[in-house]
Order: sequence, then structure tokens, then C-alpha cells
Amino acid sequence: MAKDMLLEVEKLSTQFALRHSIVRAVEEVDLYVRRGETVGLAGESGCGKSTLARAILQLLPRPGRIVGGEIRLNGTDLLRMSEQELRSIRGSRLALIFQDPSSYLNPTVSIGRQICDVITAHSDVEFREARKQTFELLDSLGIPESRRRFGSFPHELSGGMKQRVLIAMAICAQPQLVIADEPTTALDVTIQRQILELIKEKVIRGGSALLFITHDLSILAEICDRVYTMYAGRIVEYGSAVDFFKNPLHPYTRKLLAAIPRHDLKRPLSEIRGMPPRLDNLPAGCSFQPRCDLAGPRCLRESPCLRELEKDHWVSCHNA
Amino acid sequence: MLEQYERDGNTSAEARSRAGEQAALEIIGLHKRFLYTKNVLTRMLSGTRWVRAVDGVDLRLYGGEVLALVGESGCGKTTLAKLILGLLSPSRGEIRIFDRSPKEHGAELATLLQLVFQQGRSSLNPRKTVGSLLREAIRVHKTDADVAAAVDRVLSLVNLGQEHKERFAHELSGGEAQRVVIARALALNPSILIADEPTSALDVSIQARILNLLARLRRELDLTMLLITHNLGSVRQIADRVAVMYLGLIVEQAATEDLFDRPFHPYSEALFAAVPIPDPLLERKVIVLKGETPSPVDVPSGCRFHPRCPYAREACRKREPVMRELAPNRRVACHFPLNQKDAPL
Repeated sequence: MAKDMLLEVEKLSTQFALRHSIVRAVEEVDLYVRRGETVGLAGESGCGKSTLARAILQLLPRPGRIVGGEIRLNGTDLLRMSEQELRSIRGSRLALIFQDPSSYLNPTVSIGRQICDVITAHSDVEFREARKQTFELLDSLGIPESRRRFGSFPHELSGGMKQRVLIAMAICAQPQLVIADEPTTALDVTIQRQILELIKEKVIRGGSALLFITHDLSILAEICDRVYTMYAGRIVEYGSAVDFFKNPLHPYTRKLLAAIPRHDLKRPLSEIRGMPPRLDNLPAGCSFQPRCDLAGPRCLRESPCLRELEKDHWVSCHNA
Repeated sequence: MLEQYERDGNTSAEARSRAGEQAALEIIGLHKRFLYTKNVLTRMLSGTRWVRAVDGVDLRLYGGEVLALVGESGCGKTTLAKLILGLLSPSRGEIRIFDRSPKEHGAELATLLQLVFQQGRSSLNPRKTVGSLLREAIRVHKTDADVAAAVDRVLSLVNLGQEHKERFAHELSGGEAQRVVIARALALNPSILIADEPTSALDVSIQARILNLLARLRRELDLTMLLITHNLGSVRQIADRVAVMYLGLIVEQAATEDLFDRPFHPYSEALFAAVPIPDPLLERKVIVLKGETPSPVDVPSGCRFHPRCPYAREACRKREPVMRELAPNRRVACHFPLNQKDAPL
């Protein structure tokens, strides 16, 4: 194991066994995050990216379960840990920021109290000290009037403020890795900018590694060192942000980048025909083959593996 | 498939208004307020307060152009769309559609003006097939036309096939549902299409297809379009002109390229600078606005943007700026517009 390796996911597969079918939301996914690194995971809705995030924390909703692979944090396999050991890791070493903060905050407990709970759960401080830390945290996260806000309930806060509270809860124990699942998607443009700057300042510059999951590739271009693309439950390409955006290799990534309407330039938008496959009924061979312009006979037969086509730039495509 | 966008040969909106051309849609001094203090006792004790959702909007939409109305949530864009459709009645001001008010048009309004909703699927009746949804729209308004032919025509306009006619809303993908909504809006051959966030619920690859479709329809059918959105990328691709809305008021209006290249209003500038760009090597100025959009119940004094404006001065707190024409076809409501060589006061 490399010394600076923080999170290693190896051949991770999950299944949701439904009455008539099995949904393979994550299939043999390899992913790693080094210490202090910012990694992006991109993909369209239903590609399995949120399932992957939840699988890493072992918070899969039923009937989802992990059917294979390993998840190592600092070299220790999380899949072999007891629930009690896991609980001590979640929040203190691994933290999660969700898209929709209102469904992850307890509506009946004040936000200050909820942050204090996280602090006292992971360190030996008394409530009074935790309260002090919470005030400081709220101030530093740009929540005005922290003393008054301490007693506010989630419904009294705007979406942007709730997201700030969730970030406060995520970073208060100084975790080694923060997983952020679409943290800015529900927000307005100018508020999204505020939250992004906050994540840059508090998480990235604060020294935690970040796994940022989003469908918005533009955000990843701005904050990430490395980027992964996921399609139909598999990683199809990964590489450094510059390689990824300047020289995308997978046909899906290329098309996706060309389909983004950019406000800084006017250009024809490329279209991807068809739609993503259902995860319980994947096409034979490469999952992208029915939508791909380059698809040949081999793509219909065998599913491609990730290959290192350029240095540190991996892609799973027969034709790349 | 790559679709080329062409800048059409329309003369600028300003030239057309000078030439006295009648606007397809004209909005004059439009206000809409909602009662905030619903409780009578509170009203007696602390006075009546109002939500000023649309607070004096002037807008003209000329035949064949695409005007984008951009702004963040709560700025009044959707209230404005509802007012235009006659779903709400204005508190003050006027809406003229081909020089008549929505009321004067009555039921005929539907053949002039149609709306494309944000959530495609939820605006389709789940118990009806696509074919019957489209037939219904045509039957209600045109009794004598060849209904079957008209249905086929609109389906092919939006690139849907015969097989889709028998499907129900839940059998459609997000992109298909959105195309059915567009087809239904086009079924009556409207001149004006109002699209309220037509792509915001869709994935990027599907979004591109809907945007290309709207651009093509506009060209083929000579549609006039009001595109209401917060997605600035889609605005740049298909709009001819843009109006930026903030807290119930339009703060800047200009041709698309002019506005994106050189915004005059600090809010427009901040909005453009806030949107991430998919290019990791691009160096650019990022502007982080302070605070959040104030509530339309307590509209700030003076310029309503001043509490968040990085350039606000004393005058901005006191006087409300009026919309001025700073360059041909460019209007801005700001005391100290940006990107001016010598800022006039």
C-alpha cells in the first residue's frame, strides 16, 4: 500500500435484489483517494454514484447490500469492522455532506445542539466546551449571529444556511475524508458559489481529503485534482483533472463534455442518443455501446476493462 | 448529431421598437403583490404587509425572437409567467399580447400563447396516452381540423415516433416526457411559447437535446419564445436577448452576446462569475456575493441590490435607480454601471 493512500475501494459491487430483478448499481468499482486530495466523481442520475458513496460508509438503504470487494481506510478493511467500530469512524474520520440538508437534519433539535452532539460524540469535551467550539464553527462558516442561530431549528434556515450547518457537522471532528454528494445542486447560483468557496476554504485547505460527487462537471473542473466518470454502475474513465477535461478519452466523457451548455462561449451542443440503460437490464458487452458512435462488433461482445492509456489516465473502452 | 445555431437576420429589438413595430408581447409597469399578513389581528396591530413578487416590470418581446428571463429562485420569474398566461391577475400595470389584454383574448389566448413546464411528467395526465393528450389539446380549440394529422405533425416536430402515441406518461423517459409537453404546447400552432425552466430537471446529455430541439423549432416555426431559466449556459446557446431579474425587478436588458461579454449591472456580473466553467486551466475572477436574496416582503431601500453589491456607495442606499438606456439596445438599472469608461451618474 502506498504511504499516502487514504481510501482504497477495490472491486466493490453492490446489489439491490428486487422481486423480479437485481439492480447492480455499483459493479466492480476501483477508486482511491490520497491524503489531502480532492477527487471528483461525475455521472448522470441513476449511474450509481450516490450508491457508491453510501456503500463506502456502509449506509446502503435496504435491500441494498455489498456483494464483493474491499473498502480500505488507512489500510483497514471497513467491511470487516463491527457496527460499533464503524460508528466511531463515521463522523470522526469519514464524514458525509448530502444534497438535501433538510432531510438529514433533525427537525426537532436546534442546529447548535446537533453540532454539539457530533463534537461530544467524537471527543472528550464537555458540553460547555462543545458549545464554544460550535459558536466558533458557526462564525467561521459565515452563519451570522451565531449565538442566536445556535438555538434555531432547521426549518428557520434557508437552504444555503442549512448546507452550512451540514458542512459544520461534517468538518467539526476534522475528518480525514469528506464525501460530498451533490452538496450544491439544490442551491441558487450565487449561493452555490458561496458554498463552493466555503468547501474550498474549510475542507480542501483545512487538510481533509474530499470526494466530491456531482452531475455537474463544471464544478469538478474547478476544485478537483483527479476526476472519475461513472456510467451504468462502472467507472469508465479517470485521470487528473487537466487530462480529463483537456483530453477526454472515453466516448461518453467526450460527448458529455461537449453537451454542457457553457455561458462563456456559444457553441453547438453535442447530443448523446438514447438514454442510460436500466441498471437491472444492462446491454451485452460495453454498457455504453448502444449509444456510442464508435461501437464495433467487439463492443457488443465483451465488456471493456480499465486500461492505463496515458500515464495516470485510465479508460475502459475498446476503441479509445 | 450536431446542430448548428444560426444568428438569425432579425434586426435588433431596439431598431424594431423605434420603427414602431408592434411587440408580440408587451408588459407595461407590471406589479403583483400578495398579502403577507393574512391574519386580520396582526394586520390591525402591525399594519398590512405585502410580498412584492413582481415590482414594476417593463418588457417587450418581438415576433420571432428568443428572450431569456434569468434570475435566481424567488426573483419573481414564475409569477411573471403566470401573469402573462392570465393565471394571476396583476395588481397594477398591463400585459398586452398582440395589443390585447389576456382577458380580451379569452379562450383564444391558448392558440396564441403556450407554456412548457419545468416538470414535464407531472404536467401530463397519468391516465391518458400521449396520443389522447395531444388530441385533446387540438379538439378543445379546433373542432374542424384533421386531428389525427395534426397529432402526427407535432409528434414528428419533436422527433417522437408513432409508437409513442400509445404510451402513458410513466412509460416515457424524462427527455421524452419533456418533448411530449413541448408537442402539446405546439399542437395549437401558438405564436408565443413560454418555457419555464424547460431543461432544469434533465441530465446534461438530455438537456442538450431539448435545447437543440427548441432552437430548431424556433427556426422552423418562427416561434417567439420567452425562456425563463436560471441556467445561464442554455441562455447563451439559444437566446437573442436577455433580461436579468432581481427581487421582482428587471435590472438589466441586453443582447445575449453583449451582456455576457460586458455586463453593466453588478448583479449580472456576479451571476456570470458564480457559474463554474468546465475548464480546469481557466483563470478567472470569482465574485462571491454577500448574504442571500432578501425577502420580497422587506425590499431594501434605494437600490434593492445594494446590501449584496460589492460596489455599493451611499447613493445606492438612498435612491432607487431607474432603468436607463446606456448604449443602443442596452438598458440597466444601476447608479454606477460597470464596464463604462466614464460612468455617468
